[in-house]
Amino acid sequence: MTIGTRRILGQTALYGAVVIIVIFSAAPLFWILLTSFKPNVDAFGWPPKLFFTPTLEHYAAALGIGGDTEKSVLPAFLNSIIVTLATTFLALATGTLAGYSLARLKPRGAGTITLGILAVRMLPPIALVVPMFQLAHTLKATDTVTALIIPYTALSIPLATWMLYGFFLDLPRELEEAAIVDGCTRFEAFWRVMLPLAAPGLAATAVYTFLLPWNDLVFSLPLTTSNAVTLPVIASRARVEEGVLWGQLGAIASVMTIPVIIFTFMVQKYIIRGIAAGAVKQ
Amino acid sequence: MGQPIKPRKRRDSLPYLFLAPAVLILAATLIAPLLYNLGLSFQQNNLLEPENTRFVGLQNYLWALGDQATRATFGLTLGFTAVTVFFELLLGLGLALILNLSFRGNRLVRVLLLIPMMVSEVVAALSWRLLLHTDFGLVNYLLSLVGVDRQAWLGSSLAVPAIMIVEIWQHTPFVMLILLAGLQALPRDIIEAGEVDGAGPIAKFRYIIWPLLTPIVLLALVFRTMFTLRVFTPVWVLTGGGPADQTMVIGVDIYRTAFRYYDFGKAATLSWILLIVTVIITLVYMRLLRREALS
Repeated sequence: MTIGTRRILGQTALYGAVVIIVIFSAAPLFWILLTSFKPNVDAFGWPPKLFFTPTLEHYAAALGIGGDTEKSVLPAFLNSIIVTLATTFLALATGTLAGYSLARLKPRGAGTITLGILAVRMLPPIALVVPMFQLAHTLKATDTVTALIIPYTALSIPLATWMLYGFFLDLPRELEEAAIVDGCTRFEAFWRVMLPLAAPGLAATAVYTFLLPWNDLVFSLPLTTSNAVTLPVIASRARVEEGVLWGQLGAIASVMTIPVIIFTFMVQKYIIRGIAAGAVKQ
Repeated sequence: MGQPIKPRKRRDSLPYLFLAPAVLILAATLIAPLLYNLGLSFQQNNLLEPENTRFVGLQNYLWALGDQATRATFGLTLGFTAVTVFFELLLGLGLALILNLSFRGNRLVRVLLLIPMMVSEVVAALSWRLLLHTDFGLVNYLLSLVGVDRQAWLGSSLAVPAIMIVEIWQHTPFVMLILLAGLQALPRDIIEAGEVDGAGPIAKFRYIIWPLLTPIVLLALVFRTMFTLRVFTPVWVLTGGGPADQTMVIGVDIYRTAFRYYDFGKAATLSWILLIVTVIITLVYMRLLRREALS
């Protein structure tokens, strides 16, 4: 075998492996997306069908259009959006201030505080569910979006702080110093100079922060019953029903997933920062 | 030498003012509840019998360590974690090595492979529930093509391996991503020196790449171990802990004890046991990492 044919064989094997990996990785999500467009006969049919006449009836039903508005998931969709936006805003606001302080203002004990914030990130959320529920119960706040926004914000702060800390560290110190020499106060230097420069970092952090409140079931399941339920709760409840409507469930799953996929493409290069949280050198 | 110039007070307090909101929120909404939960774990505290609420010392912990069903829960959680994390590391390493090669479309493939770990665990579990459906699931259909009978994946002793597969499917990309970052941060000159000295691909991996990659592998191992020990959502959505408690991991047990039986004392105890195990693993990891750094 010549070196040339060996290389071609090697390349073919590589591409074959990659294709199989991608199919295995994408198939489950692709299949549920496909099911969301299947008429009920096909969704429950045997053998499972890859080709069928697509329908939007499940999306219409999920939105309560032209049918039973009782079954509409629109309120849950709105709750998901409210909880996600509020959490992202609050975590970003506090995380920006804290990250800037740790990176640039160097308070005494900055190292310890940074480690402490990272350690908080390791806490298992499920171990916080009981006190969170009791707290909400005592304050008569169960089944409100506020009862979700508060724990989600707290759980998101460590990640937001950490990511923004990294972004602020990367910005050139000279610009800030120049602003102060020009007569800005420390706060003005932060607000007018550093914050605009950190905009890409803020955007990446926002996208990353959105994932927890949007995706989570651990807190939303025990803390909501009807008024404040979010999409993951609705989707998870299908388990207890007889004869699950897979088309409709597929539509809800797709609505939950499509923004996530778009955002994944947007922030791909920052993902490593978020997940490894400083343990891997950038 | 004169007195050092005192900085203006306003400037002095700014670092702390900026830190305050984050630290206060963390203290009030994570640390305080955690400590409250610790107190709860020393109590008999059932929402259905408020009149019986009292301090019972370590009784709940002794119950957890002695109770047959709870011990089965711990055993399952540990076994589930060990098997799942093992396969995640194995597959994640393989994927990282493949993606570290250069080929056309590499960047696109990388992003595509990340998608499972970004989507909601609820969606991941639902997708697999559809695939594994006994009557019209794609998996049973594909198996029927090669002559295997329909399996009740989630309603039999296959439930544990089925959930493992879902978990591995969703979280291997995380391992892949970390290891890929590790591979790309390896010093190029050392690897090239090995190539010059005539090391083949296997020798290169065994003697050069693997030793350098070990700290990153440990990191992935610890992260995945911690996150798998607390698994809740996939189990909840796929089986709810059943059939007959066969998939009752500690996460689901905490939820059930608190919100089915309203036994907050015991649920708090289970929460703290999970927490303690998580902390121990983190400490062991930091030890290992330090030893790696020294050797």
